[in-house]
Amino acid sequence: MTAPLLEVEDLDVHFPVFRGPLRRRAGTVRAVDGVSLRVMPGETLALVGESGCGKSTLGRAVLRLQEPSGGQVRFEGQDLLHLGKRDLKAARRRMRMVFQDPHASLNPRLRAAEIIGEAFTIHGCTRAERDAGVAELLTLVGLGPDFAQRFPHEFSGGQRQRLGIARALALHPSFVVCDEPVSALDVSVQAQIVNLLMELQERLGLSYLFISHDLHLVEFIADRVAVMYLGRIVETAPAAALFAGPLHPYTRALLAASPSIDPDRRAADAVIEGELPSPLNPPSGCAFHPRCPHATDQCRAEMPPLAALATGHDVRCWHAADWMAAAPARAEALG
Amino acid sequence: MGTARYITRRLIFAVCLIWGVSVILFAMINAIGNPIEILLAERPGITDEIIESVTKYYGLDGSVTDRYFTWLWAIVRLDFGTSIIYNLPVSEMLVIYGMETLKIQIPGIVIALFVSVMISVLAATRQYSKVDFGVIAGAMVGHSLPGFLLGIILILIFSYWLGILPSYGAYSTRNPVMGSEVIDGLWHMVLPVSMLVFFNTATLTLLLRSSLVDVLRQDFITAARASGLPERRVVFGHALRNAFIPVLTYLGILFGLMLGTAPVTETVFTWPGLGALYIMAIQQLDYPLIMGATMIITVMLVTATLLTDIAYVVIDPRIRLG
Repeated sequence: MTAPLLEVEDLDVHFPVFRGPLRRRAGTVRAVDGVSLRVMPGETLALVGESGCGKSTLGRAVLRLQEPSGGQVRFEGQDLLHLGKRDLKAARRRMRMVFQDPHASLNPRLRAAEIIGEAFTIHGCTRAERDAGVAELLTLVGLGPDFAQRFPHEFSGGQRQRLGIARALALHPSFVVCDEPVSALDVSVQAQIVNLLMELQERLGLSYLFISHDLHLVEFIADRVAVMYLGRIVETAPAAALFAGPLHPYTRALLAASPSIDPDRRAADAVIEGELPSPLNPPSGCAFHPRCPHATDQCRAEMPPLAALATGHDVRCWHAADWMAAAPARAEALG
Repeated sequence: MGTARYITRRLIFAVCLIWGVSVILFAMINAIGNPIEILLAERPGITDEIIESVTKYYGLDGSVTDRYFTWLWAIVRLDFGTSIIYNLPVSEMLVIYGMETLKIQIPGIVIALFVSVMISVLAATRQYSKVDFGVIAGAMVGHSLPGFLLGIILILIFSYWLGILPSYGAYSTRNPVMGSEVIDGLWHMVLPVSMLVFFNTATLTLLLRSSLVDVLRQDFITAARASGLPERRVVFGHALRNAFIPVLTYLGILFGLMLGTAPVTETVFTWPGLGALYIMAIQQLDYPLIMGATMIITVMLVTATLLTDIAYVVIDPRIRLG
């Protein structure tokens, strides 16, 4: 078995909250709380959850764009959280990011060639290397070198995201965090960008941490899926297993809530009610219990551990074994 | 629309604007009353013949339109006539006094720009820290303080109590400081320039800090960090370049308003500049001087706005010309 490319162990990202005229510390928002995950070379791990569940913060913390408060991140065998400035800069050649909004993520004052070429300059490439790299990348993402001298506002939304991807692929990274890379785009353009990302993954052997709330998209692109709720991972499984037999009530509710054109796909679970609780004051026990139709006293009192129920299928639910037992019937019902 | 066409259109608009001001100015001056009556008022032994010859001397005997076009043609040739009070060519006076104004206003803006950039970066990169709150509070106070008050406080401390800096004028009449006229001139500039730097810094910092905070939050800044760009270059390269756009507008206004605020500064420090001259001309009803100075102020304001518009196009590629 090959070593994982990225290994996250017990990662915390906590934000202190200050209130009042004296700015007293009023509490802590646990945006990411004890998250562990692995990404293998060439693999796509999708991170799903409602907005505000901490998935973007996790993506940024993994790249040290947001300093974690605790835990460990190992990337290509290096302890990322204890790297000095110079080593971190070197590591940034290998791990990059694609952002959600291609309008906000490109400096409006720079031309395409400058946006893509910056990484080459930062990491000490010559002018010739940079120019060749820019032309190559523009072709790679399907834009072509003619676009080099244009400003971001002269591109369409889809073209801008191609530009963002080209920037992320400069200097051949092995790992890219894609933070909702298509959710700001028109539906017709989304498919093009997703296909481009998958094609590039195959050609360049990339690994993705793919953050999304679009479950259909995740089913299409992901090898494995991790579901987040209120800063914690509640279920992680290979994509096929998760979509065929989701075990956590939250995952099942998410799948039920996601619109589908296939009437058979509409599961029996009730759509979740209520709001995402405040991460400043999370519920006791299992964080999902106030919204869970199956919650018991145990759920209200104690936080369930993330337990392995099948190979590579971990669930954070006291009653997961019951859902597991009911799963064959469900699978049959789904046909 | 091309840049050249855009600039041409702006230029034509600017000329029309200046012409409009000239019409209004001429109408207003006419509405004040017959200048000859004011000029010769309360003087003994004035006969009708004298009034007639003085009117002819100043060219006030024609119709209003005749006089307007004569004046317009003269100011186009930069001939603003002769000051009634000082008996000197107005154009010459405007140049001499204008230079004195620029001598304190230009350093007042340039130094403030550098200082506010440094302070804004310091505050914006530490948003909501004690430093940040201190900068906001200080800038608010500086921005709200009445202009003359700080000038008077500065004079009180440095001239009256400490006695190290001159409280008025641009030059010493006798015994220049350290025996050099250059050093003497610079020495006199210290207080007025400090006052201008203080006010300009306060306003520029308020603007630039909030603009920087806004830009630093954006994804392209995170993207630059993600590529491994050192933080200093992220802030000064990517963030500052984008945060500067709203500040540019204010700089344009500041250069234009230089002459609007000059009367206050120059009155407090008895500085022999255009602002003080303008106030004096109005008090003594020196018609050619009032009209000349007003036209010069108009031209400077319009030019500053025009340059700002052009600078925008150069600095921000997103701006659509139209």
